[in-house]
Amino acid sequence: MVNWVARRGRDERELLAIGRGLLPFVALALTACSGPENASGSQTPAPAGSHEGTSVAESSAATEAADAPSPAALSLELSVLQEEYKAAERSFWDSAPRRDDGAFELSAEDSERMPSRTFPPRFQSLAERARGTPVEVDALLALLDIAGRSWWPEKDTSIEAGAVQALLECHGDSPRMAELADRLRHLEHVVGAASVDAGLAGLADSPHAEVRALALKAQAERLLEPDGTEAAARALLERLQREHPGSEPAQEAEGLLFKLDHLRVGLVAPDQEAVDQHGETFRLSDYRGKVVLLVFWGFW
Amino acid sequence: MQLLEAEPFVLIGVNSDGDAAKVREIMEREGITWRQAVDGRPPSPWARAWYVNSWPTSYLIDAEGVIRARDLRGEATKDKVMEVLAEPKGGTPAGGEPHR
Repeated sequence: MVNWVARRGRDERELLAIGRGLLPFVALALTACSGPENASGSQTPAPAGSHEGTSVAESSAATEAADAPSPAALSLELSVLQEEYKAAERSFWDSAPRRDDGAFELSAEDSERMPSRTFPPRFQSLAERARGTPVEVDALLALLDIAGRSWWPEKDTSIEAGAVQALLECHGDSPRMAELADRLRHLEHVVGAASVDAGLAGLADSPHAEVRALALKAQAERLLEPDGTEAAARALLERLQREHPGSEPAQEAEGLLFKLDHLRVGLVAPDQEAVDQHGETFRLSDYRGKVVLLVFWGFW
Repeated sequence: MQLLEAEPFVLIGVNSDGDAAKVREIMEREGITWRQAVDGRPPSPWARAWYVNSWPTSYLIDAEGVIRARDLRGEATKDKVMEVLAEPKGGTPAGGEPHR
């Protein structure tokens, strides 16, 4: 589990600070991540503070197990919620307005009522109440399955990102991570390339052979995706910018990202004016229709 | 490169040694005849626009203006140029965005 935190690429100093601050409450913080299934203490306290917003108050609340619903009750609640979601999907699309050609015509208000948008917070809240139990894993995996179905560029993906984070940090050693290993690379749009790569790297070290195998396959598939090696490079550059903002390497990362976006094989070359050795101006586009080998050179 | 003179192919250098006089001097010394963009010492306009941070760096651009290869070296350069030249005219290669 220690590896998780190191690999996750989150601000480790922040994590350490939280850890130190919570030292007297480590036992409580541990409860925030690991519940009944881990009560034997088989997990290290590394995940302490890994749930965002984990507070001492929440941790204290979590220890009051007497008030918490039983795993069986939570499991039943999850089943009911999943059935409710399926019914809502059916009813929403059955009554969704259509154009003459049969295509759906959703207004902004309709879109906001889409079950794939309204249900994730309910799965999230159930997962929070089931924290540390297998039901949390089921609820978070269900949440990711649903939330991944609707996405638009300005979507707030904090629920999905939080779900992935909680799964990796609190249940990274669970055999259920096979499902996440299989699905994680399809969640790049909600959690970012860097998290996908860090997550898969961690899952490749899982104690369960099935999880490791799926993670290795997913890592290879990412490299086989069109421009897969470039996607891996992008993930590293984005992480560099996030973890070391303002530093010189991060500023150079800006240029390298531009290169990935605009100077890739298959994209139209940037056009620009030049002055030749005789003082005549020309542009690269003057040579459209010819194959051009452009060589940047110098002896200095 | 003599071989390629009859083909619709051009070699363009982007030189970072200094001004036009300096470039002409080096061209004469090295027997270089092809056209040069005189870019000046980096950070210079072309080197910046193409984010060149190691020299030499090369880009192969096809007749449609699409980047087809970069950082070609030695024999691979000639092979790739011949391959692109051998392609049928017109039609943007797969993955290329139409220009204009």
